[in-house]
Amino acid sequence: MFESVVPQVDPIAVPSPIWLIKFLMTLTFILHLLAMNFVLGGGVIAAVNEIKGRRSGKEHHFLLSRRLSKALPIAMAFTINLGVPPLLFLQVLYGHFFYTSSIIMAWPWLSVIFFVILAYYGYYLYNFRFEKLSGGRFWAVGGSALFLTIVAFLYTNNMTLMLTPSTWKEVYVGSASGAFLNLGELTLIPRFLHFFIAALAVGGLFVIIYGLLKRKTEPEFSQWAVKHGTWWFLVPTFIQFIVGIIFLITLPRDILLLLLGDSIPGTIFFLLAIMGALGSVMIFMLSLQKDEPKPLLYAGFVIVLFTIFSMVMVRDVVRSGYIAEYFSVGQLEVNPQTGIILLFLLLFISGLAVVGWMVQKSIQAAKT
Amino acid sequence: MLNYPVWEIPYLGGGLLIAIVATIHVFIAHFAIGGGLFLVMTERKAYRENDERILDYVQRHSRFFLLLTLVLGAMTGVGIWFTIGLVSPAATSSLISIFVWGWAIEWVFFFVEIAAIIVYFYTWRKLQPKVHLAIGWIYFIAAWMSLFIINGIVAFMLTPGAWTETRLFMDGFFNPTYWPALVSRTLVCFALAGIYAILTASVFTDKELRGKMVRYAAKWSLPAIILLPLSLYWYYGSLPGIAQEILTGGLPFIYNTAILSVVAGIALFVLVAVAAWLFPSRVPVAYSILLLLVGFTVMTSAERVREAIRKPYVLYDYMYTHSVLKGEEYNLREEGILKAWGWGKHDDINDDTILRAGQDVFRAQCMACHTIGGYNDVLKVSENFTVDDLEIVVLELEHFRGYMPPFAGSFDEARAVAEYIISVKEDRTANLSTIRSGR
Repeated sequence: MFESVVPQVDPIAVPSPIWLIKFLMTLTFILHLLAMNFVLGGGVIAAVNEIKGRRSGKEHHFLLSRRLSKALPIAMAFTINLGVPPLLFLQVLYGHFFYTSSIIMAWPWLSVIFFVILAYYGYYLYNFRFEKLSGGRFWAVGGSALFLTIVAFLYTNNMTLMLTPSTWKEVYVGSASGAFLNLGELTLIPRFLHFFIAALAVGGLFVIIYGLLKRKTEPEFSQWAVKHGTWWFLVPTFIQFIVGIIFLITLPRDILLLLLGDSIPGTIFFLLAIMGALGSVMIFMLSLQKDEPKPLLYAGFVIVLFTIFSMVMVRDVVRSGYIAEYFSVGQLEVNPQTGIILLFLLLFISGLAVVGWMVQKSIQAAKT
Repeated sequence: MLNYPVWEIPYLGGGLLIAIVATIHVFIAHFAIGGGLFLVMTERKAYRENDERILDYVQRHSRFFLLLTLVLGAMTGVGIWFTIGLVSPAATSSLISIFVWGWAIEWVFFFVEIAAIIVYFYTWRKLQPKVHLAIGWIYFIAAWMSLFIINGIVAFMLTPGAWTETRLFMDGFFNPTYWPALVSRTLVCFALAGIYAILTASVFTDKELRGKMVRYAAKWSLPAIILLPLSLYWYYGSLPGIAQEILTGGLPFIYNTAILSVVAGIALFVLVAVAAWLFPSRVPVAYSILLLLVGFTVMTSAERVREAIRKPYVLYDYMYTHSVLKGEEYNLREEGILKAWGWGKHDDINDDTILRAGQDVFRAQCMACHTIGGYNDVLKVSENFTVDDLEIVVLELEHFRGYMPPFAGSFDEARAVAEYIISVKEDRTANLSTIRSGR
């Protein structure tokens, strides 16, 4: 009914080569996804183990929940921190899309902050009051995981809404109060499920890693945790094949075609992602039958990382495709400020070194 | 112009929403910095005096510190970023474009900061004191460096300095108010470190230790509060002329807020000093909460003033509060705001569309600061106006109200927005009188 309005590009030139922004955006987004998958998937796994432990009385379930309760708030801090750079670089490249969709769904978008705070305190409650809570533990950790699921759903709303400028004006002319959710979007639910289910699967991988770390000190628990984590990876990933296909079908035809030949990078990364997903499922299934699954598990981790990378690249192709008729990053004016970029890189590397030293010290402390 | 849709927030308006999120954040974030130094210095004191009770107190204090700064402090910081993107997307976009590497550097310090506080907290009594203290120092330095960065960007909004000419990162960053603002904020960090420490001392310690810790904490707050007026005077001297005028009485509301901040600051000094001198070992929790509330008043009103004296700009000498770039208003007077903005229902104004067009002009030009019936109520400021009066005022805004930006729209649009505002006012008055007479 209304013509599409996309706000003008900011007249201030981007103070950096675009490839550098894209590179850092992709890198930090992958790291954010891994941390996010741990806090969301790990929270669900902990909640399920609370119930299983109570029903079966099996010690391993409680032990896993207890260990997760200590890791979840820490992972939460890094999820938030690692969420900052991808959102920053997104605003540099696609700000005029992102701000607009955010405004149209302003209240739900702002409520993300509220839900994250609740989830975060819930995880600390679960950690610091683990013994005292006893029966309330499921509610603390499950509630937090639920709040994070809501956050994921709100993110999916904004990330889809920012790609469809044709819908914006009609909503805004109707009401400027920012109480909109993108529920009419066909890809919304499949896209949300695609991310949510992946978080469960990757959460399973972290349980495997934890199991491997405990091989020497707690061999029996270790073996159980590796198997338990493997099932958490496999079952969601089987479901993912169905959800993934539905997600693909709901994509607009021209976008889908980008992954099926119209775009070379889109097609290549899509194929790699599919192969990676299939390959990792086979490897983790094989690992269940081995007495010494370690080499296969390591291979599986590498393949999953590679799959996540490919999927993030596919996501980038899809995003560019959606908004191609309005904008491409090539249109941005660029005026690199080399000095400050070098300063950032220098500080970034020094920061990593300092954090590395502190982590080393805390591992020493944990051993004594 | 950067033509973003404008979010309508009933009663509060965007400015007040930002203020609410921001004041919670700054009150925790400054503590997150000063309190970091407090942790290491107090831990060191415990080792030096070989006092297990002090060590026990700092450890408990660090848990409170972690839960407050890492969760609420960090998330309200992200919250400010979300909120300014929703309320002032054009200005946010500009700040991101100009300072993207500044933000990226701040993120590095944020990363080191959270890693350090987590390691510090979880390695209590597990590491050698020397190493544990070193980690505390890393935390404090990283936290203060994040202030060092964000201060440049915040100060830039009010005093962009030579950047408006050169467009260079460093010119915008080390701008005229950078250093006085950095010194003032650092002093606030220390003042807050002491006040929060009085709170935890009143909760976690017995009478014997409380007396000692309250006096010790007061030594953090009192010198900082005394020095603050000096650095703020320096800050005042670095402000643009119009900002100084607004502050010294040009806008009575802002002048009063500034006075409130000063009075609350003096009260805070007296309250801390009295507690430390007269009843340090018997400071009740309620009293320490009162200190926090008074401290909150000082900060909230000071930040409010800093925001208000930026008028009529959101980014000084560059972008007006209604997101129109300085100088662009001349074109928009010819072209019309509705066309340039693009988010209105109608393209042309006639008798049928005038009220809706007026509403859209209101959204595009006024809603950045004004609400209807809430904070900075447009109905109130145009209380005794007819449509004609209001139209004239709208067209000459910058002359009638020096701290308001010029109206960036056509004559027809000025008429439309005046018609719209007066019609809303008349509707409300009519409703009110029906209610009064009818029931």
